[in-house]
Amino acid sequence: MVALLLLFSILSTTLHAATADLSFDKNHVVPDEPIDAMLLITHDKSESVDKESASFKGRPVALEWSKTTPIANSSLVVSIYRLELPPLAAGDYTVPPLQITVGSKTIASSPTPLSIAKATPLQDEGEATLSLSQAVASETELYPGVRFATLYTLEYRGTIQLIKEELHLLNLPGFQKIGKLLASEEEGEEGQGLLKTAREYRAITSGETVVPSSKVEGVVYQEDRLGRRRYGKRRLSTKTPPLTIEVLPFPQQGKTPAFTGALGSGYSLETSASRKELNLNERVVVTFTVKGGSKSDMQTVLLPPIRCQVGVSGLFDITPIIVPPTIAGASKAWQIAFTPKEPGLQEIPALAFSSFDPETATYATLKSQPIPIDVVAKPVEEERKEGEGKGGKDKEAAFQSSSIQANMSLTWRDLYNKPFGTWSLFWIFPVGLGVNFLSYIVKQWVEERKRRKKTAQELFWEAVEACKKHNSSTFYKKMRDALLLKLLEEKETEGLKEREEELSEGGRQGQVKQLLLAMEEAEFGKKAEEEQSEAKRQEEMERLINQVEVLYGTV
Amino acid sequence: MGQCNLIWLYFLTFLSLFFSSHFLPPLHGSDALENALTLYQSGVKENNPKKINDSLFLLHSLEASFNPEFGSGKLYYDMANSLFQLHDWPFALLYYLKAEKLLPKDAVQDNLSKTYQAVELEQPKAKGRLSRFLHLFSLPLPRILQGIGIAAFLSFLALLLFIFWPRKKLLIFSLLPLLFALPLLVSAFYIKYISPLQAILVQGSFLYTHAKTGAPQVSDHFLPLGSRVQVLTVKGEGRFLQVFTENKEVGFIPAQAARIY
Repeated sequence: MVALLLLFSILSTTLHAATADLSFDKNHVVPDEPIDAMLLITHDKSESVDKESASFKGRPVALEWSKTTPIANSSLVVSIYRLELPPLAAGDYTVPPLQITVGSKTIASSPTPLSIAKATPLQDEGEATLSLSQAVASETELYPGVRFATLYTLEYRGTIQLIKEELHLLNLPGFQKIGKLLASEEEGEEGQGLLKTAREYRAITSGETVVPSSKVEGVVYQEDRLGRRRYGKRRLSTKTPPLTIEVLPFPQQGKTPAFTGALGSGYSLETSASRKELNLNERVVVTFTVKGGSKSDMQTVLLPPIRCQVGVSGLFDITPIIVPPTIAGASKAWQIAFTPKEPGLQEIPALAFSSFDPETATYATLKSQPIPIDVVAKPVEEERKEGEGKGGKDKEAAFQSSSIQANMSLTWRDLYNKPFGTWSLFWIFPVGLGVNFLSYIVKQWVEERKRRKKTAQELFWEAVEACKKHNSSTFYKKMRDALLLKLLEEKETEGLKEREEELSEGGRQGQVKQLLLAMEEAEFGKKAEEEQSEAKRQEEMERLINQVEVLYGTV
Repeated sequence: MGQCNLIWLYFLTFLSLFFSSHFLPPLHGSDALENALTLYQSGVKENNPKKINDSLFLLHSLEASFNPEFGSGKLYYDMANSLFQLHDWPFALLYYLKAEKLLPKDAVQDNLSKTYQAVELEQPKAKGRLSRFLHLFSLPLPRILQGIGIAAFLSFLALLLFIFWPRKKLLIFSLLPLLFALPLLVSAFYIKYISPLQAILVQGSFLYTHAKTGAPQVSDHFLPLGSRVQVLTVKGEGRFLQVFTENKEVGFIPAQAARIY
């Protein structure tokens, strides 16, 4: 079908106008599942396809570019995109046109017929099974640079079409993919089918990566002699548990500045110089060669920092001549220019290269042999002339050396990051909010417990005590709580009511409601009137106590 | 009583975390700092590059162990001084610029301008007004973050007090520190997500049109040692940097030729 559409696309090139065609693999369209489709656009190569403009039934649709094929002896190309259309029930349809902008024009695909077979119970459907397992394989613990593989094994019985695959281990973000995806199909010991998919990666940085649960869904089908498929009703589903991949940081113990990430063991180091005798400020080219063994990973080998090594800085000027190394078999070689800055230097110092063995979690540092050289100072007269010719730059530099601001006195505190001075500070926001929220919950809980422990009578007497002490706010609060609790104790209400509005108008509830409203009026209505005297307020509280006693005897 | 305990616990946890580094015991190589300073001073006095080089090696090891990117900046300053004395100008420039981001304003300017003179480059002009404002007038990033931390702590503390003693004043007081922290938050956001990455050239290089060896040059203009560039992206599996130069040219340079600071 795709080939026919491709042919059609090629024939349509004679029209020189952009065209779009939608196609489906009808054997893989399952009822009530998203439909995989392919959009073929034939257009001039000078025109660009605006895939963001694609719309289906007036709604934007996501296109994934698959490939672009040029058409021979023509300026036309066929761009192929994949897309997913919404699910449809079984039946015969005409898929409406999909619109897209190519160049400055908007084109539409032709309406396309689509037939979806009905799902029916199949004879062998009950025996079909699907099971997914996952694995992360590595010869050693994972450190930055270490290679590892991820593997999925899908075990199945019966003829099953997969309709959903979420295999996160095949596309891990933050890891370098190595090579292509490997897939194989074989028969298991008990006759079941085994579909194995693997991918190799290289860890880049240390840290934990949580891989969510992987999932596969499928549906059983049968094909008739004409290749038409009938789908079963049962959905088969399998998933794996979430997985954490931990890449350990390189240990600090034993790490030297000469370590740049080289992994494995069995390395050897050689250095050689282009000449032995040279004048001051003339350069000698040193070849720094690292050779690997059977357990070495040459991909991880980089040139260590040379100028920071013991006996180099200050005595030599360093210039790497060829930045990308020369690679021959299991060896890498760099050429570095050393320019001596002091007369009488007798050797190029031993240079260090450090590697880390993930199997033993230890570092190995190799040191080359020092290379003997003979640096001859030029006659003083000649040097003076050269210095005048250069504008006396070296003398100026010597002057500057002695006149810069002195070192700052370092203490151990200067070696640490400032407390709360890094990006991790922002944890204070969720933690602070969490602590406050927790405190709020605890406070509510404690108050509720305290309140519930007391009886209505105890609260009533506390209110009477508050009245005697002329503490009106406590009086009203306690009295209010006592009345509401009394209703609960007498089973007049189902739960402890918080507000008088929740009480009904009739019966005991209505009487208590009247009292509560009177209390509210006494507390808030008159409080605003500043003329209300202390004696009057006291009189009001006593009147309320009497009213309550009339209602309940005592509460 | 229980409420008071909870608030004290909150307060003490913050203080102990804040001052944790002040009480941490010295780790391995406790003499390294002292040795580095002694070697540097005698190296300068005796004009002995070997001693200055040994001092630099010690400081370099400490940098690799502790990586104080959000520290005081003094370690970077001292390393830059050693590199300056050893006439390793591009790396001296790199470390002075790293120190400049962490130390108070003007602490590095004198030595930095002398290094620019040594590499015969013009010192870049001061940042524009908007950029200076967004960097809060060169306030070091750790200080900005600490300001946010203290404001957040005070705000949460006031909110905690409000939960137990509901007074309107406490609620207002919990909002005040956040208002104070607002410019700090804007600045931190700008530095983290918008401000371009800066790099310095430690090897001279031409600017290339593509991220591959042997690609054509963008122009005849050679980027000398010590040039500052803005890093746009990293290409070719980390082997090339796409940069924007001070001459307003865009192109690629080998990653080893530059150091991001």
